[in-house]
Amino acid sequence: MGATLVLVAGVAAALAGTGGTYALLTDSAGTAGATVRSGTATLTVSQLSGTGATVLGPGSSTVGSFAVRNTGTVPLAIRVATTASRVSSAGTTAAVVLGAQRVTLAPVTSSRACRAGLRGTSGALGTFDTGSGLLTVSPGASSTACVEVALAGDAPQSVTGAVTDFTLTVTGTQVAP
Amino acid sequence: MTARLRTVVAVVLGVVLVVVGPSAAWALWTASGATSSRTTVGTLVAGISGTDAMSVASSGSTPTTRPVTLTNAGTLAGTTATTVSTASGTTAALAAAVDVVAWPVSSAAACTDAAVVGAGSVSGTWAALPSMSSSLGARSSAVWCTRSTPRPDAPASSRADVVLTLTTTTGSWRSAPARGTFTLTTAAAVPAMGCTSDNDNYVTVTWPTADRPMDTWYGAFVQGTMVGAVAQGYSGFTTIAPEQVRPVATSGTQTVVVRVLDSARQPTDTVVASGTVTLFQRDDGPRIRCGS
Repeated sequence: MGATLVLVAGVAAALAGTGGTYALLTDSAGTAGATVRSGTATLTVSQLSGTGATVLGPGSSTVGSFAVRNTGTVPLAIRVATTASRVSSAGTTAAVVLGAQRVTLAPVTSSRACRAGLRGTSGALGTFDTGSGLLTVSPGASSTACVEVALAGDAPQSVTGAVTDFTLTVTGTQVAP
Repeated sequence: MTARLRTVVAVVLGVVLVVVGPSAAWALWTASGATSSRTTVGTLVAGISGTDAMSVASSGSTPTTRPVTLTNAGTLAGTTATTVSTASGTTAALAAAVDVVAWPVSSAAACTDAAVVGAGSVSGTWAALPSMSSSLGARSSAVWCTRSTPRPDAPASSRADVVLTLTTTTGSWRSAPARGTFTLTTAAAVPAMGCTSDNDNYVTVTWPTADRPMDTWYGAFVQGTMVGAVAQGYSGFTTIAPEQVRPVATSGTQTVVVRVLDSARQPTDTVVASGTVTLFQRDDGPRIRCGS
């Protein structure tokens, strides 16, 4: 019996002696300075040239072109719409004059490819709107749009002499990533 | 809410949250620019000039040749169209008795009495004349040469105010009409010349003198050449021998026109009498008699 107690005590002491104090080793190092920048969405639109050079008669048209350049860093989906128009020197209402003129807008490879009769998005001059996604312009790239404004062949003669000043607004929307 | 319903709601919400929760929310950037321009609708404006000089005062069948200028003063190209009409209150029969031929010429200077009728001519009368049609660019003109020839049977003492109306057209559009007017007039019927023959050796022609001073000078003309001696109203006659007509005619029926002369003994436009004489040849020489 006495011997047994001594043995238990010895084992317990031996096991208790195996417990210790631990210290975990760590280390660290810094990286070089870094800058995080967000992208940009910007574009430029050139002057619409040519459309004022030709006098319109019934069934005739005039053409001109403008360029859109994506000066930002994200692709842009392009939309073109008439956002302002003003009619003067007409013998009828502005609505009649604007309704008698139809715009057709078509992307072309260059201004020299712009001519009457191209297929594209059409609508009345006063309410023209291509909707979004007419075309996509990548960052740094340009695209040319050909604009044809035609006077309807059955336009009333009351529109003779009318002068229409109009503004086309080009909106580029970032293509969803 | 029953326990069963609560369980269903919980399951649905869980599914929705699992499906929707991981998707990201983002805002797409936009940029815009604008460009402006202008359109101009053209005009059609017609103009006509030269008709003032087209009036014809006829005392015979002498043609009158005059230019008329048709102008497209608008900013659209167009085609000219003309019509003729007679103003109310004037004699349409006279307009119908004046033959007209018209043709395009390069300029008004090319429209002379000697000008030959050119290509593209139209002909009719001043009561009915086909359109003088020319294709004109914006702000340009076309000149037409008109030659008016009264017929011998044109009514005397008549006046017709002829209206020449011009429009220009393009597509379905037509300009406001431009009008030019001119007048056709014919003198009063010329009294018949009195004529007596003296054995075919010469004829004595007479004319009325009562409407003019007695010292008025008169002369008889054949084909524009004076024949016989001049005479004043005191006498009111002259004699014409065959030899006096020979410079212009040796045979056949000739028209003799008696005109008033001016102070220099030159013929005026005033015709006081007209008639015919006939030249013929006999064995013993040239003869002349009254009438045809």
